Amino acid sequence: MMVELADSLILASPYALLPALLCGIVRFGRAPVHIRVVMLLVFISSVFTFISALLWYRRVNNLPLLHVYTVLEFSLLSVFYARWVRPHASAWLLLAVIPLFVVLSIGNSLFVQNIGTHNSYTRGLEAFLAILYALWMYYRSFRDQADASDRPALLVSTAYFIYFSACFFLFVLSNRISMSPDLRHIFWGVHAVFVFVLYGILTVAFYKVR
Amino acid sequence: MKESDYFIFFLGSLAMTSLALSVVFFFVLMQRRQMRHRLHVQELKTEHHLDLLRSSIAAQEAERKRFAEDLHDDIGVVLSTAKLCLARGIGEQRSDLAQEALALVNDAMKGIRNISHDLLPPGLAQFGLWSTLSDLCGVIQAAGQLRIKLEIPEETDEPDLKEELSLGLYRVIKELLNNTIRHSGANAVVIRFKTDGNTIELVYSDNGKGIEEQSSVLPGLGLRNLESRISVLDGTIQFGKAEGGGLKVEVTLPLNNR
Repeated sequence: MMVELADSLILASPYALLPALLCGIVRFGRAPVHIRVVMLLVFISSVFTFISALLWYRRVNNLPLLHVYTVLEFSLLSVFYARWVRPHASAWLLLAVIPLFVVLSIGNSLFVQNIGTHNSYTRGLEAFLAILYALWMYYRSFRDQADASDRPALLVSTAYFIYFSACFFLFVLSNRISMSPDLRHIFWGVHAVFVFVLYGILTVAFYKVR
Repeated sequence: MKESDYFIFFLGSLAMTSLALSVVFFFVLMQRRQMRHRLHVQELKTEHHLDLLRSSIAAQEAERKRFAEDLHDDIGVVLSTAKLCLARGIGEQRSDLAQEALALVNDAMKGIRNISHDLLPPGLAQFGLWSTLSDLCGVIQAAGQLRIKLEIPEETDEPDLKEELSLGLYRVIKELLNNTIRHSGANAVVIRFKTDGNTIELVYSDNGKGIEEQSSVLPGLGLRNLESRISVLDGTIQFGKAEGGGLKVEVTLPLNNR
C-alpha cells in the first residue's frame, strides 16, 4: 500500500513543475532579475525532468543528469542570492563559491562517486549550503527591512530551505537507500511530497511578482 | 542499509523538517510583529504631524484674531474719532478739533507701526538677527521684571542667515520669552547661540518653574507651535530641565537646509 502510494507520488512529481513553469513564463517579463534566475532554474529543471523521464522509459540510467543538474541548480541558486543581496559585498562571496563547487562536483564525479550513481556528497553539500544561505537571508531580513519587503524572493528562499532541510538526509544517504529496493520507493515518495511543496511555494512566489 | 541507518535517516529527516518549519514559522511570526510595530510607529508619527498641523492652524487663527482685534480696537476706534473731530471741526470752523484729529491720526499711525513691527520686526532684514534680538531683550529688560543674558558668538560675524531662518529664530525666542514672563515665574533668562558653519544652535534657559510643572499648561502656551515652526525649518527642538530647575530649550537648525 505504502509502496504503491509512494510510486504514484514519484510518478506524479514531475507534474508539480508545471504550475511553477507556466507561472514563471507568464510573469518572466515583469519579474526582477533575481526572480528571473529562479524562473530559469525551474525551466532547466523541467528540461532535465523531461529527459530523465525519457531515459527512464528507455531503461537508461539517468543519474549522470543529476550530476550536471546539481551544479546548475547550485550555481543558479547562488546567483539568485547574490543578485538579491546586491550591492552588498557578500554578493561576491556567493559568486566566488560557484567555481569552487563546480570544481568539487567535477572532482567528485570523476574520482569519488561514479556518474552512474547518486552524487550524494555534492548533493548533500549543495543542500547544506542552500540551508545556510536561507538562514542567512532570514537573519538579513530581520536586520534589514529592505530584504524583508521582497516577498517573492523570501518565498523562493523558504521553498528551497524547506526542500533541502527535509531532503538533506535523503541526499546524503541516497546511495545506501538505493541498496534496499523495498524502501527506496517510500523514501523517494517522501522526496516527491517535498518536490510538490517546493514547486507549490515557487508557484506562489512567481504569482506574487508585481 | 542497516537498521541504525534507517533510524538516523528517519529521525534526522524529521528533525531537519521540523526545524526548518519552526524557523519559517518563527520568521513569519516575527515579521508580522515587526510589521505591526512599524505600523504603530507610523500611526504615532502621523498623529503627531496632524497634531502639529492643528497647532499651527490654531496659532495662525489666533494671530489673525489678535491682528483683527488690534486693528478694530486701536486703529478703528482712533480713526473713527478722528473722522468725527474732522467733520465737526470743518462744520464749526474750529481749529482745536482739527488739532485733536491730527493727534488722533498720529496715534493711529503709531498703532499701525506697532502692529507692523509685531508682525515683522523692522530691523531683522536691515541689521540682522543679533541686533534685533538685542533690541527685543533691551525692551523687555527695561520693564524690570526679567534679566536677560544674550550670549552671541563673538569670534565670528553673524552667519548669513536666510530670512525665514532669522524670522523663525526670532519668533521662537519671542514665544519662549513670552512663556517665561507669563507662566514660569522666572527672573533671569540666558539665551546662548552657537554655530559651526553648518548648523546654528540656540540654548534657552530660565530659572523658573521648569517644564514639568508647566507641562499641564504647555499646549495652550504656543510651545507646541515652536515644534511645528522648527520642523518646517528642518530643525530639531528639545525641551528639558535647566541646571537650577527651570526650563531649558535646545534648538538646532541647519544653515543650508534648502
